[in-house]
Amino acid sequence: MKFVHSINQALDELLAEYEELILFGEDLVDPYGGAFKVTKGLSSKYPDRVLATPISEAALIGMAGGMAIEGMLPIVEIMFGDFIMLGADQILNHLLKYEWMYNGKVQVPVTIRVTMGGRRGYGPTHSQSLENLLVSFPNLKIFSPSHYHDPGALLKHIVLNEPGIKIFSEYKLNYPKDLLDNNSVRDGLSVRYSTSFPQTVYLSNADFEQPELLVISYGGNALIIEDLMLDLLMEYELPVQVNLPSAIKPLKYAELVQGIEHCTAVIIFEESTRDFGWGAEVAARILEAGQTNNIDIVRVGAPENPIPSSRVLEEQMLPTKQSLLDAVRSLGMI
Amino acid sequence: MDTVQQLIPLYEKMLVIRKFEQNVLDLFEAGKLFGTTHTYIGQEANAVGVIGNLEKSDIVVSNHRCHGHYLIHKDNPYALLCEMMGKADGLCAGRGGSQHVCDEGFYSNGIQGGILPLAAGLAFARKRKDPNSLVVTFIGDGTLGEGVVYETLNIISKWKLPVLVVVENNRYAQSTRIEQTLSGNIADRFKAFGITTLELDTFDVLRIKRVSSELIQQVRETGEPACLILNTYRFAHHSSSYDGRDLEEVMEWRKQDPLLLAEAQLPETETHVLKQKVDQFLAIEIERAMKAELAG
Amino acid sequence: MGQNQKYYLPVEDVNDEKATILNLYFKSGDHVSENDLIYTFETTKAAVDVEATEDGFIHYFVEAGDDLATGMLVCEISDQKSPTVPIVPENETLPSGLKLTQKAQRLADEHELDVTGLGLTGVIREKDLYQFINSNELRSDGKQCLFLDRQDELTKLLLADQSIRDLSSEQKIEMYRQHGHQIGKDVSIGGGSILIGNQIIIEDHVSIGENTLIEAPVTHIGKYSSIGNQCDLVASKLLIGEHNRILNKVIIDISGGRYDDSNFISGKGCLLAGETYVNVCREVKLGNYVALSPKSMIYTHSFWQSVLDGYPSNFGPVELKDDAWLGAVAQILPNCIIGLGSIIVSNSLVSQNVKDYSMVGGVPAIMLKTNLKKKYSEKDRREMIQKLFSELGAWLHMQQISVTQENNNFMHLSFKSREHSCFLFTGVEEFPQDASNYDIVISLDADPKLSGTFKTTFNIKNQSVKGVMGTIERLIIDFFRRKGIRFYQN
Repeated sequence: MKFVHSINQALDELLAEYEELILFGEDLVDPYGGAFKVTKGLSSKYPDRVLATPISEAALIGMAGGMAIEGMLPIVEIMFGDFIMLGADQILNHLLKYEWMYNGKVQVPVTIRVTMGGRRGYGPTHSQSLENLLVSFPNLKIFSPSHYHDPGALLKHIVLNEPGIKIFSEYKLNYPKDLLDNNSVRDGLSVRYSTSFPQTVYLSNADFEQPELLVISYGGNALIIEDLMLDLLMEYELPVQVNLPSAIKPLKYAELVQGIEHCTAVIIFEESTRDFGWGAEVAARILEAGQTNNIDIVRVGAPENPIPSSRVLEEQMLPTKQSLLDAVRSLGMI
Repeated sequence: MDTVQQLIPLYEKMLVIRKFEQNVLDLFEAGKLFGTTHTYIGQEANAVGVIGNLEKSDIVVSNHRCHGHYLIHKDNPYALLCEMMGKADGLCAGRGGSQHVCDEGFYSNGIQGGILPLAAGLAFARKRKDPNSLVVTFIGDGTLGEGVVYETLNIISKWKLPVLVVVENNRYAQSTRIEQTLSGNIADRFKAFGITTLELDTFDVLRIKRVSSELIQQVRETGEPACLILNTYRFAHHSSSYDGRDLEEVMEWRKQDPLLLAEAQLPETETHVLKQKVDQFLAIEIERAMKAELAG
Repeated sequence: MGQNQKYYLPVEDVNDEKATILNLYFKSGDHVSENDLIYTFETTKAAVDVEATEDGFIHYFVEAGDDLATGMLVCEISDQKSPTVPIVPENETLPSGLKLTQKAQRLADEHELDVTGLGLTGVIREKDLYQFINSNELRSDGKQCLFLDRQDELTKLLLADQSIRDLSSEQKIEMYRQHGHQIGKDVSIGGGSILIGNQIIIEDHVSIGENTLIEAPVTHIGKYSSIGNQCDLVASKLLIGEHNRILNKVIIDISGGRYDDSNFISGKGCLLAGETYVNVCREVKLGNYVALSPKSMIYTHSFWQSVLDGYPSNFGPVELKDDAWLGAVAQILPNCIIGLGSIIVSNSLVSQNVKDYSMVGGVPAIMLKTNLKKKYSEKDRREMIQKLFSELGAWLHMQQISVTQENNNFMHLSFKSREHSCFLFTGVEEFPQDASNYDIVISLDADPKLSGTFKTTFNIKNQSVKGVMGTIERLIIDFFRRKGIRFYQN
């Protein structure tokens, strides 16, 4: 099962079971089926509930709010996550405020699916990972599955069970990836899951023996991290654990830092700009929990710069496996 | 029914708004209200005329200047006052204040134009559940500068959503005259999206009611949007006490006061009784609101 | 060179970085005609057929079933029977996906192990190979290296689930017992502490403090021993005798390498004071009643620079015999034996053997005194103990005990509501008729006559104490301990 098919199948099942569910966004009807083909086939099956819209992100997101208040279950697709800024006012000043501002008189269950991430040469306005920015919207919930998660199950969970406004962030390079579990994980790695939804994925390159290094990250970053883990295993036998929460906000702290007590260092890795972001929040939580005794914390992320289109320049700009290796080296662990 | 009989209940509703807002200004100056407040004085005929045609199950989506719309659609001055005073009995228990209120089928929010997509979404859902239902949304002339307005107009027209957009053109965006900010004209904006658009230059509540009734009926029957432009004037200042407008200009417009126009057609005994009735009613509501428990 | 047409794997779907070759319809070298179906590939969504755009000889560079990145060369059609592009042979790889980490590779190379014959699969780590190195008897001495059995269910659990550390003492003990380890009565394991091993024996009345890690394939802790907080005790065998007192932040470790004799062995009544460091790269053995003072250190290895440049590389065991005392911050280097009853002065560095009953000091340590141990006559010993007995009375008085000293051998003690009569028996006294009235008897020598019904009996020769242990009894133990005279419960 590929990442893209898992989401497609989950949307299909949701549409089949819930009459009130509506899915809309730009270019998502057949035969095109969405810029990343996530909705392929769905508009043919559910023509009155899978709708292609004008290019009007603000209106789409705002309308989803109205639909939700009237009892529908809207899912909005934002073709490139970068465009969510066009609807940011609707998210921040409208959708996120209604329930509390109106003293609980309305419920606004809206799911906004976005694609995020670079490394495809799409350039400055189609490559960003804006989770970093969205985490600062009060009460906004943000989910981002890795290819070790079950993205379809996660999407269904948040659409049906998570109240309020949810961003479901899909990493572009993840779409064609096969979903992995303990049976299909690469040799040398093993995977475990937390028990409650939304699940945290734990990866180990040492069969979950005591890790010396903990890497905290999410979503598509797992693609780079699994390479890193194998390098550290094959070349150094450095035991590394990686924690990948599917909810990057709100944080489930205990799951986020599971295993930290044995580590001498924590690396927080994100493709977003490093400063003032999610990684800073995670680091602060660890600090506030008093778990920094003898533990070094390093954030690895992108600099504050537009993302170039040239794959060569992009590789230099975005954090890579090499950036992570440099960080591990700077910690004196290899 | 003769004109007087038709006019009496409308006049009484306008009186409620006028006197409510006058009291609000007094309370504001006395420091009894939190934040700021935008009064509807001068525009009463619009809310009374348009909303007077609606069913209770219809939806009104309003803006920062929402008191008049609210009082006509939901008729609960006590809850609105409590909201502005931060009382537990307030519409949103003091969380929203003057600009951000919600009551079943009534919503307002404080960002210019931001409510239009909300109205469209509500209408989308309503159309599937109850084809006769509609959403009326009020915007001002200043809101026409916001891009999201045009995104939404495009969609409600293309997707045939039952929304009546009422533009209350009071000729000022806070302190800025419409001539300084608006190119072209208002009606052409709506017509460009293929939306049926009517425009009225009047403070006559009966006329507004009659014209809007026809439009509302059309929206109900076709399930498609329409627009009503009401050129009007705000007699009080925008929100806080600053008012940079020319006093003579204001006085000139005040000659068209919708209440005076109505009073001219009604026996003085009738208006006198109604004024006393409304005064008494509001005095009781204000008294109750003053005594209500603070939220939090 | 004639004309040729190359066929690259096209991008059919925006998400596809690769596709699978489903079918090749010819063999390389076959002649094909325009519009012949030449291959089919499968993307995430659909199977796509590709037809020849001209006549010629076809040469495939892929096989059916291959996963191929988009844009890669699939085949070419040319007017020549042999391909115009050289076919690159596949890299040779180990069978069954066997991959060795660099460390494992080094180990395998060192021991000339043929890893393909070991029945291993997947990624091979260094530790995966140790068992084969041992079973191949590559070690000349034939001894078995001792490693944790990481396949053991409990060991796996302890290594992975740190929350176990925070279970209650009872819960942890129950868990160890369920997995076949022997844990005695009245044992406590503090919060945050854990023992990891293949064989764990803890005798009765042992207490382990908080946040202490004990990790050794074989661990045996004798009765009445206590281990403090925040200790890290790691060895191959950890054999701690009875009545040992290991205080806080003591470290026993195997830096320098784990060997088959990376053992820590202590006799009865040893003291490892706070922040003691014992390196057990090779065996460290303490006799009975050995004391390691605070921050003292024992090393079983010393090396750094190259032996080719004339530097030493020194590995070897260390032994401290009975009654030896290592002073604070003093260090012992490898291959040293510290003799019976000897003293190493604080801050010293011991690099050679120390004779019995001698005192050494300095850096490096040199002999300061010999024949430390004196042999007193029985009479002198009796006088000395009688003097101590009266000192004991004075000291107990200072400890808020009401004391009435009757003579050199007898005193009344009262504390709270308890009345005690305390009798010193040096071996020569007529044992009184009303012996059963004595609550506490302190005996210099073991004597069969002392088999009465006393509440508490202290025996200096046996170093034993039997009977009731109350406040006064504990104070008596404390007093004598400061004279180097110790009593242990049995």
